[in-house]
Amino acid sequence: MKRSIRSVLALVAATTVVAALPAAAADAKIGAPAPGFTLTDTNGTPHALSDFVGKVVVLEWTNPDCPFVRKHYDSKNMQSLQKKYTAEGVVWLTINSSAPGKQGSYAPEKWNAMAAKQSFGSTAILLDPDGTVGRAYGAKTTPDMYVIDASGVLRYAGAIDSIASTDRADLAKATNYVAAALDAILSGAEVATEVTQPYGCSVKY
Amino acid sequence: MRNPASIALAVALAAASAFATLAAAPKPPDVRASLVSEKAALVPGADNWIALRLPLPEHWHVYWHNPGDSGVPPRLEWRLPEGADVSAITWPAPKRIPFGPLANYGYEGTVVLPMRLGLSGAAAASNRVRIEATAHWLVCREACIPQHAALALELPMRAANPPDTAAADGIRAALATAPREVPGWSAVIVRQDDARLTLRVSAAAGLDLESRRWEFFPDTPGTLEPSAEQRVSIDGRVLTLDLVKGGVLPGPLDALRGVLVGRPVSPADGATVAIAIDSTRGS
Repeated sequence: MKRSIRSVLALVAATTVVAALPAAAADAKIGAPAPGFTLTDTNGTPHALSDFVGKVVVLEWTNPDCPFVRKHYDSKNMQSLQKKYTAEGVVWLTINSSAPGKQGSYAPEKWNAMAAKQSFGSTAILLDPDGTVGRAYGAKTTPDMYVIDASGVLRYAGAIDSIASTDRADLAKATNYVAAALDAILSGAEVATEVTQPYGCSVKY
Repeated sequence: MRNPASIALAVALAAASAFATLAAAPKPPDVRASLVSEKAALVPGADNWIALRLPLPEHWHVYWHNPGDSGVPPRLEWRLPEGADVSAITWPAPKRIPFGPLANYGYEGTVVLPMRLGLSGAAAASNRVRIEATAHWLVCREACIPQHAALALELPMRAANPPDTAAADGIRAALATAPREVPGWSAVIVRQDDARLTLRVSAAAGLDLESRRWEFFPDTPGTLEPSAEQRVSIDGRVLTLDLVKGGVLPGPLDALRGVLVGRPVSPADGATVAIAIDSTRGS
């Protein structure tokens, strides 16, 4: 199943035009190879997606000042997922696409301090200050989640879970789509829910 | 000209939620939320219109029921006496609020979200009715801040024709832009592929189509790309909208539901109109 995620065609002249500029065309499609990228982590080490062929990869868009992200970090929900699945061999890449000067744009040392203080469990924190990778995937919110299987194919895109809120009390009631996709991929099953509407703060491109 | 029963009795205990900071968090906006009533008294059996009022500082916004690319809509948790019933919000026409390559659907300025208060049984028989709610809203500028407030509204009962409150005009203005099913209007999806669809809307006679800027807002998040350009052409009484689909919902869309908003190009061109659209009712 190949289907465009949030894709936008070229613009054509219009009789009446109402709008802002469209989002950049996203290259990510469910069932197709995930767009390749190379980003540098907060320790200065470059990581290419192609380095991880043979492993299941999670991409997590984040912004530590977003209340939706805080719901998942202050509750340790995100760290628990990161630790559980990296222990099973999953590569978990936490990505920040905030433009320089925008909310959530921090120096690498600051990221590392936050990660230590909050016990992040991700494999690496990748910085995408020009938003290239965020736009390639069509990342819209923080959090916005993508799951790529061991053959490099995108298998899930969308919300972390089923309840769009900033309220920690909702975590216990929510269906976690990322955990469900990972469990399915790791057990060789089909991903039941491949795409959902992500919720959260806008990515600060 | 003060109506003692209206805003004076709406108690707002605004409480910005704890927002522990990792870094320079924005200063939370001071949003003095209140519950307001169109009329100074309630009438059993009538449409008693009340509203959540959120006066937002400049540049801040809250969200429509479909918030677009990010955000969540305001919501209320009611504590009501027996016999009192509050409807869902009647959402006024939203605005598109662009943010970089993304866009939201929402409201700026003084936001008024109307609801109907129904009274029966014990509530209808009492002299006064007090309703309470906790309102939750996410207010965003570049940053987003979740806020909530414990609100109350207490009003006397009256047999008929209570006078307006100071909030009446705001509630009526909000209701005037709420989508309505208008006889003579119909819509149908005439074409779609993986990326785009064309919605053809037939308008009833009367309204001047050319003097308004038309924009469609889908009810379901993910059906259309909020930031994408909407190409609208007008031919006689037919509006043709070329729309970019969102990538979230799989497969072709069976139907498109939402609101078509026509905002006057200049104030002299009349009022904003909001037409409820359901492509399954088209022809």
